[in-house]
Amino acid sequence: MPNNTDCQTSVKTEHGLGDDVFLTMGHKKYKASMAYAKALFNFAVDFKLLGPIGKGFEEFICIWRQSSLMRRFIQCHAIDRNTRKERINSLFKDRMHKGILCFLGKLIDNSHTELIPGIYSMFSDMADEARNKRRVRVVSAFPLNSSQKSRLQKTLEDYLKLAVTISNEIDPRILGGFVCYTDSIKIDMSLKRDLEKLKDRVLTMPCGGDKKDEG
Amino acid sequence: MKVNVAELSQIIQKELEAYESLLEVDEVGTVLEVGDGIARVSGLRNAMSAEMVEFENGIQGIVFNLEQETVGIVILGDYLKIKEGFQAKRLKRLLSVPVGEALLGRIVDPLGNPLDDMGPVRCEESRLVESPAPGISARKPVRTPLQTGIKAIDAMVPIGRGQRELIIGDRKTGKTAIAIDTIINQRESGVICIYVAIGQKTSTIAAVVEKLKEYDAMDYTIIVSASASANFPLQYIAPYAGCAMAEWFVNEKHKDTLIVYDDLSKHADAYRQLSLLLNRPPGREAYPGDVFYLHSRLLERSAKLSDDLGGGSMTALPIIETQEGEVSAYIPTNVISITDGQIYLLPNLFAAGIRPAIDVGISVSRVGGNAQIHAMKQVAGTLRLEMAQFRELQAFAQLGTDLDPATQRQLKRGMCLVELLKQPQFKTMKVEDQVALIYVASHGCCDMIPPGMVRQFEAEFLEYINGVYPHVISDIAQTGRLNNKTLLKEIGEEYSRKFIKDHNIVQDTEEDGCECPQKTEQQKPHDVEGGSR
Ligand SMILES: Nc1ncnc2c1ncn2[C@@H]1O[C@H](COP(=O)(O)OP(=O)(O)O)[C@@H](O)[C@H]1O
Ligand SMILES: [Mg+2]
Repeated sequence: MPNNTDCQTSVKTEHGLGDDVFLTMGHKKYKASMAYAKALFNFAVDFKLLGPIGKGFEEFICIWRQSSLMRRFIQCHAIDRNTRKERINSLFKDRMHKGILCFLGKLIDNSHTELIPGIYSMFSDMADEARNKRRVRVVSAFPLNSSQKSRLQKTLEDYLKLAVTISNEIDPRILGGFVCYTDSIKIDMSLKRDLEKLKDRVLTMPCGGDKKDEG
Repeated sequence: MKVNVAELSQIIQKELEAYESLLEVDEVGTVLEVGDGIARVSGLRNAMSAEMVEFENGIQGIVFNLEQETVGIVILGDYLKIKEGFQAKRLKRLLSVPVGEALLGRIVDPLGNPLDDMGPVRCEESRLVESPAPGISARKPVRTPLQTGIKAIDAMVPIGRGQRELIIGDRKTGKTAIAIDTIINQRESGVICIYVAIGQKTSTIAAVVEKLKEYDAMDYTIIVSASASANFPLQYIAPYAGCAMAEWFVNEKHKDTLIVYDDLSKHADAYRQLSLLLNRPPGREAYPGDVFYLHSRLLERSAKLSDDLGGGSMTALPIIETQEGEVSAYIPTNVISITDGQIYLLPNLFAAGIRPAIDVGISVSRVGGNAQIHAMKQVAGTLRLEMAQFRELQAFAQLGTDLDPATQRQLKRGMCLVELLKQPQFKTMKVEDQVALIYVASHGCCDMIPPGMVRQFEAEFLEYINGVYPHVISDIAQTGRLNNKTLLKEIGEEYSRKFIKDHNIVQDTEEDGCECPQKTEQQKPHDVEGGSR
């Protein structure tokens, strides 16, 4: 049991959405994930399979996130590659597109299964872009309620001129307000930043003594 | 200073009321990898080459490599404080350094932060570290001399204001010494000096600073230091930063400046290190392909500006350290081809006591001749000729063959001139003194003086002529011409006789040139060996 919870927390940090995925990823892994994601995306676009492949990948990721058994099984080097591939195939044959199963097979062949979450995140960003959609990660100190979310979504859609989906994360360190991240853009509207700005201004201000001299 | 709490809270209250939270949109990326002064960052898709970025903790960096998915960033600060996963923000501007008169007398790092204990550097302006060199119409030919105060250089390889003269030689041959003497000699000329130390030992830099202070040269000097312990990005930008500081004086204050890059071999090494860490393909000697551009774009910024632009100038003295005298290595040949001349320093001359160890045979200055004052041009012509003949004759003399009296006289004079061109460190000489001395010596006035006593003759003669005939010296200084040659020669001959008499020098030759063959024959080969080793 304790083993399980351990696994859960670690998975949580590892598989958080957006840029977090790359936090512990070195340069080489990043480049490799990008190459895989691009290959899958190009394949899907060329064969007009963006819909089914995207859906299949999403489904697979859901299972991957929920089941630690699945994660361990796919990454287990003690089990022969072919056995792993066959099991995955037979398990998901009816549920998802053949393309995504082949792709997973390739990852198992190349022992690159640990890149799966990163590849997914990159792939879904590419797929979103192709559909003129953008995922925005909104970090706030408190959970956003639905009206806040829809207002924010509307504003962001006007600003970015794209369809926006919001994923909310909680980080009490920003104290209040929110910070949006999307495609290397950061929009900082947090209380923390305001206070820091204020601090800088007060500190760089000519101090009282000097002021009197001037006046 | 006392802080009044009520007052402070009032200020904060006012600030709060005035504060408006503005929408702030930044472009950020995530650090994937960090190490050895380099960070690789994902995102930052619109980042441009050489743009500044700022990491979460305020440390800044420069975009150095644009790759397909990532950018390579050189970190200007302690890279150990940057962790994977940190955010890096585009600053949308290029690197600049503070510039201004407040820098004079200071020791700063390449970002303009003080390294001395004189408090913050208060500069109002800043200037881009990398800026394009002045174009053709912005320049004027080099015409004014930059007096180094070193006889051998001012006479034989003169440097003009706006010129780039390379100082090249092995380690410990007196390269830095020449640069420092030149800086010290600018005390009265009003030239602003910048000494950029790249990859030097901190103790060496400290010694340089000490000497400059001792000779009151810090008032008009800026030291930009990226010592061997500074990280490679700082060493890489140091010369450009120093150049930007000099450019401010040239462009805004229309001043003449002198900048010493000590040394560019280490600069190239730092650049090589950065490039290899960023997987740029290595070329010859493992330097990246654009290492020529590294130095050409730096040295092209030295110029003499046209009168429309104020007529300021930037003279550059780049230094290159060779290994075992190998001047055909990659970096030396590059820098030789960029500069307007070279001063070669040879370790065997240095060891033989000929210091500064300048090889006058192969050292050249391609533009400086136009910049010599007229008087110096006159005397230097004879000097060059005499020295060239001397070098040729030396080869014969070593064979120990019988030499005719004329040849012997020429050898003797050559040896005197070699002695005369020796000069200790920190003893720079005014150009008018140099002219008088070289004129007198190359017209045979110290032919009778044994080589060992030439230095003594030099010192006493200058004292004598400055004391008894000051108008002769001041005339040279004021008009820049040698108007009364006969008088100067007479003074020389007169003093030479006096010197010989005072010091009881026994003549081995008669004054009119009639000689006693046995005596000279025995002595010559011995002396020549001493002089040419
Ligand atoms: N003209 C000179 N006369 C006497 N000693 C000199 C002279 N020039 C340099 N030296 C001495 O030679 C040593 C090496 O000089 P330095 O300029 O540091 O060499 P480099 O910069 O080529 O390594 C120093 O100890 C310096 O004092
Ligand atoms: Mg040196």
